[in-house]
Amino acid sequence: MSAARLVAPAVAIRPFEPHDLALTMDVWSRACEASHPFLDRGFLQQARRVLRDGLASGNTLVYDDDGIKGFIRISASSLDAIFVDPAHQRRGIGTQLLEQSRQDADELTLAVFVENQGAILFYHRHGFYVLQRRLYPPAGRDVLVMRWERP
Amino acid sequence: MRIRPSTPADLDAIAAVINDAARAYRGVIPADRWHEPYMPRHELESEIASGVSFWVAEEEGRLLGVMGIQDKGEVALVRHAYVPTARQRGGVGTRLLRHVQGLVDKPILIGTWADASWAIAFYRRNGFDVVPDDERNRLLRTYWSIPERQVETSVVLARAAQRA
Repeated sequence: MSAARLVAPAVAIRPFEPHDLALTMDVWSRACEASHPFLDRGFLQQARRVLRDGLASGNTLVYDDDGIKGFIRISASSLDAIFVDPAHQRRGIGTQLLEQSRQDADELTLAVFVENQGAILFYHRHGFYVLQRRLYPPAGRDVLVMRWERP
Repeated sequence: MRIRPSTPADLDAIAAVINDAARAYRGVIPADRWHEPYMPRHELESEIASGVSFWVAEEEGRLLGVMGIQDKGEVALVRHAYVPTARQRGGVGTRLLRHVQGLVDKPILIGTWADASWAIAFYRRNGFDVVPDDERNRLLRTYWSIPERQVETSVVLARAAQRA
């Protein structure tokens, strides 16, 4: 056991606070640009507004490690968003956000664009399976509806 | 026997089931389409990334069979359905097929090798029919990503009542 364990962690997963807005939107923009190059500008602007308004309503956890590196939004049994800054991906941030936010959930459903294969594999690694594919009219593209149930 | 969605921990076992069962293809399907292992693990992951969900039949911790289902919008495809040769004729495939049929509310299409007579007989017993060649060609080119050469040597099965 190292002495470092006794020090309060610098990294915190904590609820979103209003002053996190700008950094959280920056994470979303960078992550979206990297993972959703197929989406058109009009849809992205609309999605940005929806997210900005939604952040104020709660249900968001941020990963704060000397700045916001990622966030997750879960409402009822719906995983609405999980984004990690591309510069900090593949370090377990998404996994920590998902595990912490679903610790009291028995099931979660989400929709992911069929083109976003990296995310589909991430969700599969965390126990989600595909329920169906359907058109997501706001983007004019197909999504996979994926579901996780507590084993 | 329990049917459940696959997890990443199952991938090696799924690949083993597929590769065991697919040995029956050797000398049956066109030689240029046969390779071993028939389904390497990385191909399995790439199928999952493309939206194939694998369901497994399990008994006492052992995998008895696997069946993928891929929703393509208007139709859903049964993909990579395998029961190890030694476990065939035991109802595993039928349980898996009924399970995935219960998941989707759209026509289900199944593609397999024209020479895999045992597989075609299995789907026929479960209410599927081979579609005519011209319809097969159209369906394979629309919903599958396979080489043109494989189109001629494949069949597509659909439920008669659900024929698109």
